[in-house]
Amino acid sequence: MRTKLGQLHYIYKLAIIVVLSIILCAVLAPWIAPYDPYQVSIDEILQHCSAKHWLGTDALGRDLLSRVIYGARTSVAFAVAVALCTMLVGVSLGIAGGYFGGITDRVIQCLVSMIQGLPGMSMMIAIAAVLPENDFRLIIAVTLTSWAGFSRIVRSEVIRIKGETYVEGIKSLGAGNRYILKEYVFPNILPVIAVLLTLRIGTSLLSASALSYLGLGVSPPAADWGVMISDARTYFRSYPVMILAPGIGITLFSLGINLTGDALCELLSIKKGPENKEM
Amino acid sequence: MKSAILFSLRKLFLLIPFLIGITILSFILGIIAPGDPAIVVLTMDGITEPTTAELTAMRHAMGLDQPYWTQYGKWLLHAVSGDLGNSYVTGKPVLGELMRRLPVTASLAVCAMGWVVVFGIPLGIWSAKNTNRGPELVLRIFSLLLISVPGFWLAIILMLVFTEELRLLPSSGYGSEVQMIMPSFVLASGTMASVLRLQKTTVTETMQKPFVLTGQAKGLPLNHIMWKHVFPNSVMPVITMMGTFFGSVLGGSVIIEDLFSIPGLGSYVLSAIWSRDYPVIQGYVIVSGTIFVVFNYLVDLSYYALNPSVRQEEES
Amino acid sequence: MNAMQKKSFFITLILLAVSLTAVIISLPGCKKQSVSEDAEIILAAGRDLSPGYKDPYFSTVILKTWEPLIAISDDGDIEPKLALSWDSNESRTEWLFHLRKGVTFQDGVPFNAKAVVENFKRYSHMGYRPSSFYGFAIERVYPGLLKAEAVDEYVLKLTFKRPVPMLIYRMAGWGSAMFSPHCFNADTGDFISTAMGTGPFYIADRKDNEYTVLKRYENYYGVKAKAKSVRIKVIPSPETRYSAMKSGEVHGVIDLGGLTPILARELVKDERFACNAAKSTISHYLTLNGRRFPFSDERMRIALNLAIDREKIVKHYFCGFGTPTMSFLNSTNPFTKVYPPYTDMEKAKKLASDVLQGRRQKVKFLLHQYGVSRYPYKIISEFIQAELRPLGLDVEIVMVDNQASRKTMQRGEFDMSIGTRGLPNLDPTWLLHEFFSAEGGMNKSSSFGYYNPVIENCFAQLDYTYPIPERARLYDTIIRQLLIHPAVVPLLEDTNLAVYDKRLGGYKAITYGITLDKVHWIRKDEAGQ
Repeated sequence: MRTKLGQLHYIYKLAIIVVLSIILCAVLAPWIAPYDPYQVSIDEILQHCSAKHWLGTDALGRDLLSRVIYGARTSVAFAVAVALCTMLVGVSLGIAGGYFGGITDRVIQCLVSMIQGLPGMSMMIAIAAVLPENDFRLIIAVTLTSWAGFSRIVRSEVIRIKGETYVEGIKSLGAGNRYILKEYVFPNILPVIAVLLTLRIGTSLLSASALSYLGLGVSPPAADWGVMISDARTYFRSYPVMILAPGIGITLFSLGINLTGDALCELLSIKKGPENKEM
Repeated sequence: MKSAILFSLRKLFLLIPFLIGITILSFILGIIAPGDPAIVVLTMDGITEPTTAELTAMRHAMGLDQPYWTQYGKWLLHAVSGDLGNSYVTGKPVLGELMRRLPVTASLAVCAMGWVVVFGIPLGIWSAKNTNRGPELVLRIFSLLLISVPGFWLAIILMLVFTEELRLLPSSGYGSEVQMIMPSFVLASGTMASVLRLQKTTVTETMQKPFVLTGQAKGLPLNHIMWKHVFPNSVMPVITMMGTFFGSVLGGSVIIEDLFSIPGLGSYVLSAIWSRDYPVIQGYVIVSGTIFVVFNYLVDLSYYALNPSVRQEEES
Repeated sequence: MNAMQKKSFFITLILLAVSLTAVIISLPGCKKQSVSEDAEIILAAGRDLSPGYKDPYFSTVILKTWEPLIAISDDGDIEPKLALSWDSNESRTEWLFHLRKGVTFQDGVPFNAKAVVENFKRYSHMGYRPSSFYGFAIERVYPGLLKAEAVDEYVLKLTFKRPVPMLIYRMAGWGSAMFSPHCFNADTGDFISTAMGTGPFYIADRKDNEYTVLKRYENYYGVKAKAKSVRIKVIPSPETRYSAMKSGEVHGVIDLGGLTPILARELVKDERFACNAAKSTISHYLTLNGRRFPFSDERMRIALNLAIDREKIVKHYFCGFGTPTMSFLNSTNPFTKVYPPYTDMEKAKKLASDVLQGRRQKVKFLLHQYGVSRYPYKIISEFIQAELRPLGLDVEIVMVDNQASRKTMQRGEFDMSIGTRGLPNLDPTWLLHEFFSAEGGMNKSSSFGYYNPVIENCFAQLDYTYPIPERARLYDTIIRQLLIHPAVVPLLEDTNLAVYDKRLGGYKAITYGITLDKVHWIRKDEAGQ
């Protein structure tokens, strides 16, 4: 049974609102942020919360609130980009393997189990460390290590749909692969992809911020929640806001995404598999 | 019985291409990496600048002047015979160091598993039976929160509260049980919550199965049905998940081990990554990949043993 | 709630209670213990301070387990240690060392000229030996050594091919570490058992990357160590070291970058802790790529030297623990003078606009992992990024690991970088030559592209100038040339911080390490004074 948007639990509604407002903040950052997040003013370093700087300033005198807002931009953009890339790779390989089967499937399955068998986080770090230092290495590193789960689920969905009697019927009527894929398979796996993509944004955010935290993410002075947490480690005992604000940002967004994923499951009436968190 | 042996052998056979894949992958990783391992060794102190002659000699001594295939072949031959080479930085055998650190990470994984078993499963069952009540909703949000919070951030906050402010738990190190509490909790947090949610779903599903109704109709006590029928049937996917989790902790506790100064596999590979110590990185990938594979193999076997439907599927 | 629900709820509760009690029972492990005089002192370090068998020294000099023939004193000058006096012939090719008598290694082997010769045999056979402290190569300390022989039980004679006027300064510290001949293989240079030196402590136990336990050497010839036992724990992350101090697990931190100044300041806000400082041999400086625009233009390098406000860097990011400097050679070195820095933003802007002709220029700032994990380099680079904007330079900061950064620098694919420099001994010749001679290894590998005829001339003269005062004048000429025609931008001289639990006495920072042999628990009656 499908649930309508209006019938969702209020917690889900709240979560969707939170996610949308964070995304809105990210998009509108240049207009909402009270200051330039890169403006260094050495006379105003390490200030506590005040009317002028709501969240205070960092060790270079930059306005923290503005940096958190711009940080949403970087972090969310990275999370979405990573999730999209993961989806692209995962879905295409999942469909290819599931639909065509045979040797293609064997090879892809072997790759999948290899990726899933490797230690995720450390591979991610190793790949990111090995790639030339630019902003794309983070996307590549996370995508390469996390598409496998995506493709595995898509594959089993495709196999299920392929096995349905009506698809077999159409096939016997002489429909081409392209036609079946476009008209039957793809529309049917779309809801699953939507849910997986949504949830993937949350895990991508966590992975990407872990890499940023280790210094493998964006280059300074760019604001990014993971980087901000890493920067705050020296100061946060006297200036707890410095570490709390970006951390809460990550948690809120990822929590919101997880709840939105649940809500989507209810809306699209999908049974959801277990989620897993990258450490 | 015969089919069981066949099944296990076939699964075992499937592991071989996988293991070869891992070795190639980890070897490639070393090749595409920028930086020259010979320079790494010669400039460890960050002060000295090696001469070209010193560099050539070191490259030769390390076998870096040979073609890649020769390097790979040699390395693989050694690896099969249990020699993963020596660390560029410390000059000590990699395998010995990995084996010395493996129990540390394994005990961390066991502790993390403890959290999952003690809290995840019972609370999951409890949630299934109390679904949509006040406390259950709170628990639901809390578990989602645990899934959503970045581990490294949680670790810092916990350290601030329990070590620095309350002075209850030690900050770091390895050796006593108390030192394991915080890191294993942080590691377990996400999975604990996932297991809770999964256990809840499976229990709810199993309770709707016809045999539960039949049992009730027969007049069996609910407790009996719960423990004899519902629980065993609902716990299978959870066990799979925990098996995967155990494997992933063995290979994924990198940041947490580093933060809590735990001398396990994760902190070893992280420092190796920073110093481009390829033999260590490669050895680590192989060892942790193998462990993960063995674990999955065992999970598969136990699945086969416990679950009749898998057996039928395989036999048909 | 029906019966079953109740039951499972109780089971959950019981499980909760059991795990909580388990936690509480295991707690006493970290309760505060009363301190007896001989209780183990626990210190934290960021890296393994006794890397062991393959290391040229087995453990760092700051653990005071081994001693050199000639040491670096607490204030950075030469100090006779196992060699009490020395003299040489006129041409500085033959040196005689008179050794200290009545010294035994920690394994009971007597220290004499024969033992020293064995150590020299080890030096000459081990080739270049990398180390996480200072790599050792016999050619760097004893260039052209022909023979090391015992002419008497306590007299050592070294014979060289060429004159080595600075020998004593080179031998100081890491250059002449002495170990019992029983604990190493002189043919390979490897240690075959735990290294036994002559120092006030010996290594009683160690575990790679986990801990080192030092015990007082009761037969030490000099003033014995005050502490009976010291454990050095390895805690790689500075924040975790802070937490460990705060919770009372460790009583102090040692080694370079032990606790960043900002964390140290944070810690001494807690009245249980105290901190003192001493000048360090470590300097921080900016490297410039002199092979490509804009820093190929000397005016731009001068502009940078004038523009960067070193006072602010020291004040804000080193909490005042550091000395701003314009001189390349660290002031703890006996051959240097202090040249205080000054800023002149107007002149810097003028020079920069002359070079850039009003255009803006992108420059690539390499930031390497090695430095970022020890020093506040990241924030400094962002500070410099902001400081250079008015000069028309748009700094792009690129974070790389140490090795990639070396390669990039060698290829010249960068404009500036930040670095750390220390000295393994007291002879500045080698360091200055490496950096500023046209033939220097560092000059080439870091793309300085530096050539200065005056400095070249000084190096030529240094080859045949033996009297120390005359050499000192030549060193000074080089330093002053570098002020007028800069190659790099010296930023500041670091400070060694000793942060410790106030229950400890005798805990003082020195130029390299702390006064470990004087550290002890303060007795109650002493504390009252």
